[in-house]
Amino acid sequence: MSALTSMPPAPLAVPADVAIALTGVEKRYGTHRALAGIDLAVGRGERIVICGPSGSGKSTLIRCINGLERHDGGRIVVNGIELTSEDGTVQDVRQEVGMVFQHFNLFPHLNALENCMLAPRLNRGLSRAQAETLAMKHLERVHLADHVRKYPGRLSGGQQQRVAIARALCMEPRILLFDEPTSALDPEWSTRCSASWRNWRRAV
Amino acid sequence: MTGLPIDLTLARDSLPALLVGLRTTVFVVALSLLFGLALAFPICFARMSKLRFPALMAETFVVFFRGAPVLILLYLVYYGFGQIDALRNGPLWILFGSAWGCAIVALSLNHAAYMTEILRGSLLAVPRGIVEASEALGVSQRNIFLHVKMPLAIRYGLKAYQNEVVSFIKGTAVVSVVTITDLAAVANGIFEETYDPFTPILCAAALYWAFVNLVRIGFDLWGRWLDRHKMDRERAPVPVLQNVPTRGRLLRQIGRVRGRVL
Ligand SMILES: Nc1ncnc2c1ncn2[C@@H]1O[C@H](COP(=O)(O)OP(=O)(O)OP(=O)(O)O)[C@@H](O)[C@H]1O
Ligand SMILES: [Mg+2]
Repeated sequence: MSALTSMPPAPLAVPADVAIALTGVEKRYGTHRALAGIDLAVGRGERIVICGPSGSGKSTLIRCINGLERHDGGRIVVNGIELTSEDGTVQDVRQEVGMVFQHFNLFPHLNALENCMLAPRLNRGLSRAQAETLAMKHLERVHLADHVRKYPGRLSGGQQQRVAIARALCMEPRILLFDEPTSALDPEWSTRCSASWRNWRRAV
Repeated sequence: MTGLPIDLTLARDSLPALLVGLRTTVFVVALSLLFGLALAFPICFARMSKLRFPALMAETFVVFFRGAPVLILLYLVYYGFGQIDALRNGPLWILFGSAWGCAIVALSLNHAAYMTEILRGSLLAVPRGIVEASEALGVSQRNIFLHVKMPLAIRYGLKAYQNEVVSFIKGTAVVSVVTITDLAAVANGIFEETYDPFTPILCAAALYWAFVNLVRIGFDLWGRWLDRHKMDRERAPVPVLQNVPTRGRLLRQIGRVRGRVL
């Protein structure tokens, strides 16, 4: 990376219909190579699933795409924005990318509705009423309208995961990253989710 | 009223003076808690900074002021600083020239050192994943601190904060050595006038006790309000005495709780 930062690299030629482009992405933890030269191109509107055994680096890959983890080599371009070591680019990328975590990571001190309202209010300056309407829309979409006032500690695993999905959707990202999207959902919900994702024009 | 160590007439007569002393104690406490907390934030940020120099400075501050006894700190500031000519002729003399200034400075520094550690521990206790979730939502670092880290840190650190405040209140009695007539000083004055070794001290103790417990109740209410999100999971079937659940209702309740867990 140091060679790259000293001299601005030539912009990577990424076709406009490619949402995510990875070339030779490397990630090392100490001596362990979690990602070894990953090349990947995901088109707009395309949905892909990454499979692999436990510990193979799926989460690491996803975390590199929205800059939660700095990659040690290669290049990542998301919606035409290249992730570099500058803080600004990470922030730009995150406005485009939503993420649902393997362990949900809901805000424990906020109820389901407030979990969904926080980011739209802070990032997009929505009023309380606007944010609430938006959050309700997405919570209804995952069939949680009856549980919006509950705190995460009182929701079941599957319900928590659906709140996490709604929370990500509230930022209306153009790209959605799911880490184990249906791990906590029962089979019926899994199929229902995949069916509804098929209807959404989203990548990954 | 023999047999009682307390002279009730003296207690009644000295109450007004003791209350004035209590008011002074409350002012000393409030001001030092305020300045101490305000100071603790920047020092805590420095302590947690990745930059070596600020982190080292902050750590030195904490080690020094946590280790230094407040009594000696007060003597040093009040009597020692007056020996420094540059300070006596400088603008800061307004602060260090008065007993109040010295007392508030010394107590605030002491409180800030403790609060830095409490704050740091609480911030470190915020789960990494929750901070990452906020980052992934594109929330700025400043907003993550204000809306995610601090609200959680307050919950984690409230008990430690309460302990610090309670022991700090009792510790403020040292300000009488720099001529501030706080509650302890008033009680001591009454003792010197009457030679009654018990009445003024026990009355003062009762007032300290009341003050400390008022603060404790305040903290408890605050903590309960903050923990309202846990409320009906952990304290779900509140046994109200006038309305003791019958066996049938109790079983149904247990069934409900089970059903939720399953
Ligand atoms: N912060 C870290 N420090 C050191 N090693 C790490 C760290 N994060 C991940 N790893 C290692 O990187 C490898 C990939 O981890 P990752 O979490 O991406 O796996 P995964 O494919 O998501 O697995 P799972 O299906 O179990 O979630 C693992 O061997 C893991 O031990
Ligand atoms: Mg994983």
